Order: sequence, then C-alpha cells, then structure tokens
Amino acid sequence: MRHKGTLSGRLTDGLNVVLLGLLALLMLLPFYYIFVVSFVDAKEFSSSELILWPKNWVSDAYDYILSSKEFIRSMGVTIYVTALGTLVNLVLTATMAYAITRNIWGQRFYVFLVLFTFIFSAGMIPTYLIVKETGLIDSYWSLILPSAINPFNLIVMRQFFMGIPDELSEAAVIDGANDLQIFAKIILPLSKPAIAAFGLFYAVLNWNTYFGAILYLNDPTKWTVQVVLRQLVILNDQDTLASAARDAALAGELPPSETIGMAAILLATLPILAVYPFLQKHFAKGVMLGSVKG
Amino acid sequence: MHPFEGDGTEIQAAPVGAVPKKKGKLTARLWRERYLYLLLLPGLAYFILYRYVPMLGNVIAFQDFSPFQGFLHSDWVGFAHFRKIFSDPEVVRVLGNTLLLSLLQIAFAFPIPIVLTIMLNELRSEKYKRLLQSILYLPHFLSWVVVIGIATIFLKTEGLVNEVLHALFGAEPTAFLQEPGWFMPLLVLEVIWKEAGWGTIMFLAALSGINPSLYEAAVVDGASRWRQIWHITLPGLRSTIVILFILRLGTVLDSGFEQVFLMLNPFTMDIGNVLDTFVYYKGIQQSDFSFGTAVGLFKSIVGLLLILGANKLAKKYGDQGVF
Amino acid sequence: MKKMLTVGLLASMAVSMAACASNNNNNTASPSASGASPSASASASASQPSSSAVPSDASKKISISAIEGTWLSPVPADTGGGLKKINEKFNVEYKPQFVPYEEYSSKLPVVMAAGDLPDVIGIEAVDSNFVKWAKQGAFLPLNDYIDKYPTLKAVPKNVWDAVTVEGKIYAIPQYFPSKYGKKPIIRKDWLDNLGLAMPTTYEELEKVAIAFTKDDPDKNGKDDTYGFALSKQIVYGASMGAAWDIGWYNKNAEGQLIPGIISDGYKEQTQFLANLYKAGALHKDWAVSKSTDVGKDFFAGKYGIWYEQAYSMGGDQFKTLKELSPTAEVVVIPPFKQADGQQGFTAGQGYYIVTALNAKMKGDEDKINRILQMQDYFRTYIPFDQRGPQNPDYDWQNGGENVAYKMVDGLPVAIPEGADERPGRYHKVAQWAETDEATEPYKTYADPTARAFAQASVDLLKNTKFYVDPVYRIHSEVLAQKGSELEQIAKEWQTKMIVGQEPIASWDKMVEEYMKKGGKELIDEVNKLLADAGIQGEWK
Repeated sequence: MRHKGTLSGRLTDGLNVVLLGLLALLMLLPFYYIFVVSFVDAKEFSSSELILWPKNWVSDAYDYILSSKEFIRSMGVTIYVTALGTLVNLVLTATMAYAITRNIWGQRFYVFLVLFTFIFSAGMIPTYLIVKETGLIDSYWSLILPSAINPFNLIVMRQFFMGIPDELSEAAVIDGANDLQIFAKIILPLSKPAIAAFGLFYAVLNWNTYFGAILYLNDPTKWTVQVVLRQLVILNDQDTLASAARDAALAGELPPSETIGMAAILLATLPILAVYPFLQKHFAKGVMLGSVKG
Repeated sequence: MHPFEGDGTEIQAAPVGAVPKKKGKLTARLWRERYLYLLLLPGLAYFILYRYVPMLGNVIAFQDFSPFQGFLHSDWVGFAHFRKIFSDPEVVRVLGNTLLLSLLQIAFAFPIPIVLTIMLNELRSEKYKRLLQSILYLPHFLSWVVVIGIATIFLKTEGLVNEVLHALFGAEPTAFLQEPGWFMPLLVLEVIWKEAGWGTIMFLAALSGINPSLYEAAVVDGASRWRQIWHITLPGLRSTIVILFILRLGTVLDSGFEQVFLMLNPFTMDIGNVLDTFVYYKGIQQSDFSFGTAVGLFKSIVGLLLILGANKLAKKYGDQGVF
Repeated sequence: MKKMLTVGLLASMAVSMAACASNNNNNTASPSASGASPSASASASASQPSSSAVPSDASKKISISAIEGTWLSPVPADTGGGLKKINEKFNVEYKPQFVPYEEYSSKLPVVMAAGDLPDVIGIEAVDSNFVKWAKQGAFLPLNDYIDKYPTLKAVPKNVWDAVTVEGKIYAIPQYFPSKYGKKPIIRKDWLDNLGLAMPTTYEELEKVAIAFTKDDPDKNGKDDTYGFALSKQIVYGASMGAAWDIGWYNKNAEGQLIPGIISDGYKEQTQFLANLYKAGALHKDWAVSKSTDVGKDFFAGKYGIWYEQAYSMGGDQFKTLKELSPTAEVVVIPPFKQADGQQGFTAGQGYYIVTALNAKMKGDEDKINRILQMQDYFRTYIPFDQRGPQNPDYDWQNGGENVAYKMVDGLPVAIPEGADERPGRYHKVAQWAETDEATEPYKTYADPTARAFAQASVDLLKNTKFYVDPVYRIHSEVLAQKGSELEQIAKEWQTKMIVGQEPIASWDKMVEEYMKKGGKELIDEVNKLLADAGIQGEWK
C-alpha cells in the first residue's frame, strides 16, 4: 500500500523480508535440533555428537512419556491451573490497574506500593507461611493466589490504559455512566491488544508453574506437568552436583536417555505455543481506533 | 490525533498527600470514587497479604536465620552478612562486571525488540508477518539449561560454528567459550536470541493503538518510509519504551544467575563473575537464607534508587514516567 | 524401552530392596547376639528385634509421616497398593512425602520453618545445615537404639562418626559401598592393540595416553581418538591413589593434614594433565564439557581412559560400547605405588542419604521403635541369589511376582504398570550389606560386557587397600562455610595450569591464595578437631 512504486522502497522491503526470514531460521534451528534428537534412537544418539538427520526415526521417547498416566493427569492439572489462573490474573490486574490510572485519592501512593513490590520481594519461607495461614496448602489456589498480580504487568497495563483518550470516558460520564460501566464498556473493549498480550504473559507464567507446585502441594497427584517432566530433563545435567555417591544413586534411576529429555521439552511446550496464533489477530494495527469508530 | 498525547496530566495534578483540608471534602471525594475503590480493593488486598506481609521476613538479613528456630528465635547479627559481601576485595571487580554486563544488555538487547517490531510492522504480507511472529517468540520457551547446552554444542572448537567459519573463510577454530573476550558478547547474543521475539509482543500491542489514518495522511504528504517510522511509529511506542526502560533499571544488578553460571568457566571467571554468581560461590550453596536475603536487599535498594532517579529524569523531559 | 527399564530396576532393587525370611511378628534371634551379618543367615535373623529389647506394642496402630527427596519420575503416588501393604504389615498409617531432589533443599527448610516437619526426615548428605539443625535440637539422638537393631549395629564406627554431632548420633546412614565408587578405567583392548603394558606410574600413564592419541589404538586408520577423558571442573581428574587424590591424606611441613587439592600429589597430577594437554592427548574443549557428555563419548569409543564404577551404574553404556567397537574391553587401572610405600584408593564415605527422626517424638518409645523396625526390615540385606519369588520378603517388597515384577533368565525385571504395588517404592532405603563384596555388583547386570567389567573391578578392588579420609568423621564449621569457595579457587588455577595459561610453577601462588582466603583457618580447625577426637586417617 505504501511506497509500492519506488525502487528503493522495494529494495528496503526485500531486505526486510530476507533479514527477518534469516532471523526466524536462526531461532528455529535449536528447535529443529531438539525435535530431531527426540526422535533418534538411544544407540545412534550415543554414537555421534551432532545429529542433523536421524538414520531411523523412532518414537520410543514419546511412547515412554505418553504411556504414563501421570503425564496425562499432570497435563490436565496444568491446563486447569493455567486457564483459571490467567483469568484471575487478568481480572485482578486490569481492575487495579484501571483504578490507579484514575485520579483517585492516594493514587500515587498505590502506584508506588505496586512499584515497590517489583523491586523488593519476599523470601520463600515467609511466603510459604502466608500461603499456609491462608489455608492454601495442597489446594490449586496456592498456585494462583500468591502470584495473582505481577507488578511489572500491572504497571505496564496501567500505561496502556493511560493511552486511551480521556474524551471517550468524559463523553460517557456526560451520558450518565458510572466508573464501573466506563471500565467494562469503554476501557476493556479498547484494550483488547493489551489484554491479549498480558493474557499471554500470564498464561505462560502459569503454564510454567513448577516451584510453587513442589512447595505448596504435598500430594504428587496434584503436580503440574513441569514438575513431572522436569526430572527427565535435569537428570541429564548433573555436573554442578557432581558427587560420586549421587552419581551412583542416579545411575539406577536415570531415565533411559537424553532423547527423552528432549521429547519432554517439546511435550511440555507445544500446548502453550498453540495459544499464540489465536491471540495474534488482536495485535492488528489500529484496533483501538477502529473499535471507537464502530 | 494520537492516543498517547495529552495523558499524564491527570496524574501530575494529583501529587501525594493532596488531601483536601476539610474532612467533608475527602468523604465526598471517596464517595464519588467509590466504584474505583471497589476495583482497587481486591488488588490492594492481594498486595498487602501476599506481598507486604511476607516481606517482613526480610529481617532475616540481620539474623543468623535457622528455619528450625524461626524468625523470632534466630540470633541477631546486625550487618554481618553485608560485611561478608563488602569485605571481600574482589567485590569491586564483581560489581564492575555486573554493571558492565547490564550496560551491554541495555545497550544491545533492550532495543532489539523495538527494531524487530518496526521491521515486522513494515512487512506487507500479513501472513508472512504472522508466521514470523510465531517463530520469533519460540526461543523464550526454552530454559537456560537447554539454551546453553545447545549453544555449547554449536560453539565448541569442533562445533558447527567453527566448521562453518572454517569452510567459508578457512578460519582456525576459535574456543569461543574459553575466550574471556567472547564471554559478554555471547551472553548478550544469547539473551537477544532467547528474548527478542518475546519482547516484541508488548510493542506490537502498543502499535495497535496507532491510528492507520496517520500513515495514510503521511503517504499523501509524500513522507518517506523513514519519516513515517520516525514521526508516527516511534512516537506511538515512546511511552512503552520509556516505562520498560525505567523498570529495566530496577534490575540492573540482576544478571540472570542461571545463564551466567552455566556459561562461566575458569577462563572467563575474571570478566564473568557477577554479583549473583559471586554470592553463590560465597555461600548460597549451603542455602544460607540470611546471606541471600541481605544480598537481595542490597540489590533492591540500588534498583529503587535507579528507578526513582530515572523517573525524575523522564518527567523532567516531558514524559509521565512510572508514577 | 523395556530393556532400559530392566537395568534401571535391577540397579534400584539392588540399592533399595531388602529381604529376610521371617514373618511379621516373630522374634527369634536376639538382635544383640552377635554382630553377624543379617544376610549371612537370612532365614534365621528376625526382621524385628526381640520384644524384650523393644517395648513396642504391635497392636497399636501408629501414624508415621516421612519426607524425603527422590530422583524418580514420576514420584510415587500415595494411593498405590504398595503403601497399603506397608500399613497392613507394620500396623501403621504411613504417610511418605516425596520431593524432587532438585528442590528438596528448598522444601525441607520451609516445612521446618512452618513447624510441619514430619517424623522421619531423609537428608541427602551431611552438610552444614544438618549439623546446625542437629545442634539446635531438631533431631532425635539415636544412641540408645542402635544396638537393638541388627542393621544399625552393623554400621561401622567411621560411618557413625559422620552423623554424630557432639557425641550424639542424629541420623541413620543408608548403605553405599565405600569401595565401588568411580575408579579410573582404561581400554584394555587398546593397550593390547599397541602392545603396551598396564601403566603403573604417571610417566607410563602419560606414554600410554599419548600413544592412545597418536598411534590409532582402535586400528580404524583414522586419527579420531584421545588418550585421556577429562571434563570441566576436573571432576574426576587422574587420581591413581590416595596421595594424588583430593582427600585429606598429605601433610604439610608442620605435620598438619592438608586437603588434597593443594598437596604435592595433586600438583603431580596437574603436571601430568598439563603434559597431556600439551601433547594433544586431552580434548581442547575439556574445560567446558559436561562429564555426562564426556562419558558418553568414552563409551562411543572416542577416549582411552575415563571413570566408571562397578556398583549401580546402569550398564547400558557398555552395550553401546560393544555395539560400536565389538572388541572393546574396559578394566580398572590399579592404583600406583606411592612414595610412602602405600598403594590404594581413597574410600568413599560409606553411605548415601541419612535418615533422621524428629526430636518431637522424644519419649514416644512405641513410635520410635516402630519406625526403627521398619527401617531395620527394609535395610536387612538380601543376597542376590535369593532375589525372586522363592524369597517371601523379596516377593512382598517388590509387589509380588507377575504383578510388579517377573523373572526373566533368573533376573527380576520390573513390570512398569505395577510400580506402585511395590512396598519398596514407598520405604526406599538401601539394604545394609555387611561388606562391599556382599553386594555382588556384577550379578545385577544383564549385559555381559557390563557384567565382565564389574566382575573384573570387584576382583581387583577387593584386594586393594583403601584410605579412610578422616575429614568426613568430624564437623568443621570452616569447612562447611568456605570449603566449596576454596575448592573453586584452586580449580580455577589448576584448569589454567592444565591448558598452559599459567605455569605449574604458579602452584605456590595458588596455595598462598588458598591459605589467605581461609585455607589456613580451615586446616587449623580440621586438625584441631581431629586431634580432639583422636581420629586419624587410616588404611583399610
């Protein structure tokens, strides 16, 4: 649409297309490696250093992981926690972010309150004590409530809300709308791109829930998929822990090979990757203004 | 009209402690803002309960904390843990390394997502753009252990990178991982590789607030592509860039422990030992909670000062800043 | 896939299973009758001590909670049949909680701080936290109970010392052989191919390693081998005996025992490695290579010398080696003769994982004894030949034949679906073997090459002398606080020396820095503690 005609415009376009394409390839390369290794048989993996194309493709690693009922169950847990958690995250973040966008009494103080927690964090033990005191141990809510709002996300989301022209809400006030109505009917619809972006951020954080599950959930049947798969990955990386006795104790327990670790990485990542394409359409240009006009 | 114009005035009109003198006025104001307080309260309760109450536990920075004895019965040691950090003559070099790394990350890794966003924004084919976006953000999902494991395979003297360099230029193999000179560039490149695509999401969301008619008008006026980027796209991203930059300063002493630790080796220790790894070698291994908390407090205080300073500067130059 | 699991199960059975032909409530042999191995008379010795020794009322149902780390994935679910069987057999309500080891060091203090510490606590290693908490009174002293239980009584003094703080025993060490940890191994077939003899000194070892690099030891016509496999942090190094190892063996001019890493022996080893690097017998990337990757390459036929153990090693790697190089033969390099006339390796600590009891149980003798009975039962050693359905305890602990395991060629093989039916999965302790030889490690491997290697290693090592490092028997605070930092400093120097960035002549500078940053203090304290306790290093 723009600068279709000029030669330099076309050249710049071409360069841009090629450069981005190369970049994308570079970022795809390691995934390709992980993908390939996950399909290599253990023998071939042990015998060569860098495999670019397996001699024979085997799905042993996937069979091994998928055959366990724990994998299926933990995947269910993770999907549940991610869906519920992200909803809670978005509701709490958006409401508070909007409230402190407006010129309410003590507004600057509240903003500082949030900012302060971005810089100063609480330790693991006192946080555990609060989770315990609020009765969340062994409940899925322990994975959701303690991390209900990410201060960074809140501050940036507030920034997006502040970008919405005041005239819109002022007009609504004249029409007799109260603050709740303005928030629900004007601000939220206009903020779809931001909501989509932060929804994705939160969803990914929730999806990767690992440490909280181990800390707050004593019942292993409630663990998330990351906990179940993590051991398969880290066991292949024991160098920092080298101790003869531990090495030996591990040898008997080691998952059969690194190929399983790679398969575990892919299995734990693919479902959340699938979310992005659905959110993409919200990032289109001019969404905000378009919806105002319509 | 640009959506980001004219905001911030509200905020500056409401300095801290702008409490109306008469009590009646305050009550009236609170009543007028009751719905906004309703929106505020759940979040506020969250921050107090799950963020501020446990923050009291940071007193262990001044204790010899034992989980068995608890917060109340552990011995008080004053500033002993802080002395442990700063009495080591090496701390000067370590802090220098930490700041240098942060500076490099801010100078190179921070702007890349912005550049990428603009490049993506300039693509004509919507399909190609979406495909690229979906690929570029993939590396974010790999843990550092995996990223560095793969990087090591590629960067060894017999690795792919050296083989390619040899095939193309007949270059002798370089021990990238053992050369002190390569250490920081590699760290920055890794961060760019892993996070640049992910970083574009926020900016793409910000771009969606730009009115397409601005571009149309610019084309009519005969503005070049570069002028459009300069006068429309970048101003549209400005407030997001500023706020992310200010927040980034708050974590200037965090180097990303896992990445640095996994990349460190005896050859790169002089240039690569940063505060996080230094502290790890000094005692975190024994899960010394007090020591770790003391270091955390130090990093936070520095971060807070930087954020407050940057916020002031931003306001001086006409931006609204964080608060 | 199944084959992989087989080996895994065998190995873990070897570590964790115990059996003893007795039923639940009899009390035949007096536990204090002799220090004889329970395994020596599996049918006669009781799984429980006599009632006169233990006033435990077996009819009372007792609730017992436990926490421990695990490397298993998935972690045992607490709904499994194996757990029910434990509850029935011991008349308990056993509530074990398993935490992935990666986060165990975070979870345990948190649980402790919340006042929720379970009755039984598994701890991976005796570290500064263990000692600190023991001193603060978190754990129950066990001195009075030891003699009542045969598998506790069988623990040697030097191992008890490791869990003894201020004279009180605060934990039960779980078995791990002190002899069959990682040892230097060499490709015997390569030696034969080149007509070389087994090296007995560092000079000979150097010649062999260089020949392995340059003279095409695998006779494939390609220059694709390295003599010596080394990984980053010098994890295993080239310690051909106690004098060259990192243990506390050598003495300084004042007659004090010093850590091996700054000793002249280790300097000799470093010099040896530097020579190899110069000659191209070490891989250029060794300092950034993980030991798992280097090990993989050894078993792919790329290296001539590396480290492996006979006990509980998995075994798959040998199968790979054999497939890639059918003539491969791997043996342990015998220790070199030292200047002081001794010849032998440093012994391992003799345990892995200790089990502590919560101090809150003090006075609840029924509960304490019930826990120790369970420990004793599962710790009781079962000879390898009895591992099968013919032994009722083995069968019970492993969930029953054809339910959780089946016999294939005389070896028990796991049935993965039945894993949670195995009581042994829920009360996971190693059987306490009377001697390291009694574990018969070679019998546990199905793969003939792995078996041959293990057999040869045991044959060599059972007649080899081992040095018992005294530093594990005391608890030095300086060591706990500064040990790893100091080691880091030394390894940084040594890595640079090996690749020639620093001359070996800088050794004294390294020692100086080590001493200045706390090494002096460390050596003084360790030597004082040893003198006070009357403990010395000894050969066994």
